[in-house]
Amino acid sequence: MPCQERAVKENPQTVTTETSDHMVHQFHLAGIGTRFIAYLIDKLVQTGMVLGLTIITVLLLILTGKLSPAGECLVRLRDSLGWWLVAPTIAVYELITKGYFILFEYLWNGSTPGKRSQEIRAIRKDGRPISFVAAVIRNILRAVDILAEIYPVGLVVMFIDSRNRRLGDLAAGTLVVREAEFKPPVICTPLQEPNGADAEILNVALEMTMEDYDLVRKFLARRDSLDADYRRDLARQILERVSRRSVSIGEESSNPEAFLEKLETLCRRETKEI
Amino acid sequence: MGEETSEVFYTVILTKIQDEEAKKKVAETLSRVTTNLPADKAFKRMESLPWTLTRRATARNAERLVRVMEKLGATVQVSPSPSEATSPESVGTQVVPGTAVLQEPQAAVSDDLSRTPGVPIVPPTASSLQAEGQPSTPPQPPPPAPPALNVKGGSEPPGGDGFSIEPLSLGGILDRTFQICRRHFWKLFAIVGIPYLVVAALVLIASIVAAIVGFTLQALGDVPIWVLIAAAVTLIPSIIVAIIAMFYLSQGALIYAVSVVHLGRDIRVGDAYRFVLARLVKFVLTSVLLVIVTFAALLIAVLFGVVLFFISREVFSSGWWSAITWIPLSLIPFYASTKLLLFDKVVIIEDIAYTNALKRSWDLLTGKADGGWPRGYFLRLIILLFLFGLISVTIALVFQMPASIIAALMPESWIVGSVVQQLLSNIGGVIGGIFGGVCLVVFYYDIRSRKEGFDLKMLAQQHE
Repeated sequence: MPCQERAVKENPQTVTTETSDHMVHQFHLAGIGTRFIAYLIDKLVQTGMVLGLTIITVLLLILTGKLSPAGECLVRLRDSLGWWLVAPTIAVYELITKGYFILFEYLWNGSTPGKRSQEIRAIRKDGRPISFVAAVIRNILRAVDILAEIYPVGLVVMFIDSRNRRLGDLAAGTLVVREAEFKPPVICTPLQEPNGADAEILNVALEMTMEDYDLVRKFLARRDSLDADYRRDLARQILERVSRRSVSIGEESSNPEAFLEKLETLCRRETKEI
Repeated sequence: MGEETSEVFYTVILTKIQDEEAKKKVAETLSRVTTNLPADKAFKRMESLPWTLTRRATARNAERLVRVMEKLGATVQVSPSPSEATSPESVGTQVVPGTAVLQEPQAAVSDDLSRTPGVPIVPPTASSLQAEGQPSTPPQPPPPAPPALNVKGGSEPPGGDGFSIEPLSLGGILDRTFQICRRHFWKLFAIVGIPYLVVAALVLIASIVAAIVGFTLQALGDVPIWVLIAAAVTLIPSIIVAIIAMFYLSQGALIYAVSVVHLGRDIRVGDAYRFVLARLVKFVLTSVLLVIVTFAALLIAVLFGVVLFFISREVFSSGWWSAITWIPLSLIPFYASTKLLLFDKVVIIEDIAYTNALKRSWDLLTGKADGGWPRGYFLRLIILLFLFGLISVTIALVFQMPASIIAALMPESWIVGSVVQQLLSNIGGVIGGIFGGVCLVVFYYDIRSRKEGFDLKMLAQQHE
């Protein structure tokens, strides 16, 4: 399978899986940094949820006039249970934090609010969606990966593992991959529509290689964010490169961007694919 | 493009193949023009026909596919695709060169099909197409080669380790940082660790010499005072300057090494040090200039604070009301020093020094990026520094945990425990320093790609 092997060798951040009916899928692994940011966002969401619930509960108690009895009840509980109160508190905390991940990952197909914001999700290593058991295992082991709400163990394991897996992933047989691989590229609308009479431009377009086309397309898509001087120089440089293989373009070089727009449109029309 | 969205697409189904030889040829052809369909897979797939090759072929390409398949000894059936399936919006894709998306398994057939050796392009006569009222297209010259059909979907700007240097998100910058640290860990560790090793070696040698000579702190009292003054004036500043220069050298070498590996080349520790040696003076002097500018900003903030103190004393009877302005005023030196944070990259990578380097760093961190939040380059840097801070704490914890365990296991030998703790803490500091250095170099290149099209410039020069 030359194509598959090449892909894996060229980019070690890619994982190729094959289903039983010979469907080949490629996934791009989520990086450690992206996962770290996703986790921070999830922690923010969790904190917000807990804070929100607490505020709502307190408000309800105030509105119903039961704030003082509730407070007294808590004090009595603390006095009677002492340090034993810590255990159920930790249990509730863990239930909320781990339950959040388990629930979201199971219901959202391996995603959580944080992961969704970073466009990543957890899958099984064979490419199938994450199961409930896998979600439970990978999130229970989060307790080992995380200490003091940061990832000391998880970070080391992810750093060592070539597929960026933490202990939970290794135990559950899961991977975290990037989704939304395909994004429609920006297609430029030229100020002047090229027509069949632009024989010179057509010649240049026909001589363009795939790298040329890709370069022109990327430049046109990103030109508005470039600083003016660099934009002008870059357009000229790309035009020089593209036109070097073809006939002289003479007066067209006075407005390189317009020329590149025409080239891109012509090339796209001429190479429209199945 | 309106033209593309209104186009009629066709479904091409492979229904029959003459013999094994034809099957082999068809498999090879399909393998050649698809992104990730090896010939053996295509061959296997043809054991259970019919096989829908595509549901999104344009009229012209459907004709070509028919011709090619018939030429190879296969029978294909063409029919117009249902409109809801053919609308590019319905599948969230657009058909452009190099990104053809097929509904059926993983195939992205390209125009290469039309240029398959031995497969001429003939005028269209497909009855199924004409029945749909599609105008016959005259023979055309072979189109130019389409963009790459590889996994990445095009020619990638040169970046190391199969990574592109195109504009990255904040997560992407951190990902790239971890990737560089992982791939080149020992080289980067050696670059940053050398000054520490040299200092440790110097201390060790001095201790050994002192032990041999029998020199102790008490013996200092017997040394003539003029010797002590001469030593204080010459030796101590020299050692301090040498050590500072060494740390600058290591920092510069790290920037250069990361820059080189980020752009996809390999680096040797010696080369990195040699390269930076030539720019060391500029680097140190520009750093001194940065300190002066930061102090100037601090001075301005203090002067403003004093002025506001007297103003508030006149207005509110107590000058301490001006204390509410202290926090905003303290942001002035913070803002100034942060905006100049990329100066070292500018000096080492671009060989621009002194005020020009500071101005360049300021300019790079001015403006807004395209894409998602945060858009401002300065804010991006602040958030990146915050994330880096969190990761540094994590790295420090990684080394403090075992150190604490060792110290707890050996309560009687506290010296060993504290030495181990200090050693691991220093290693953690070095690794944190590497991570921070790499992160800022990647960020620097990201800004240049966004503002100056650095990646496109590299790409333009790459194949010339």
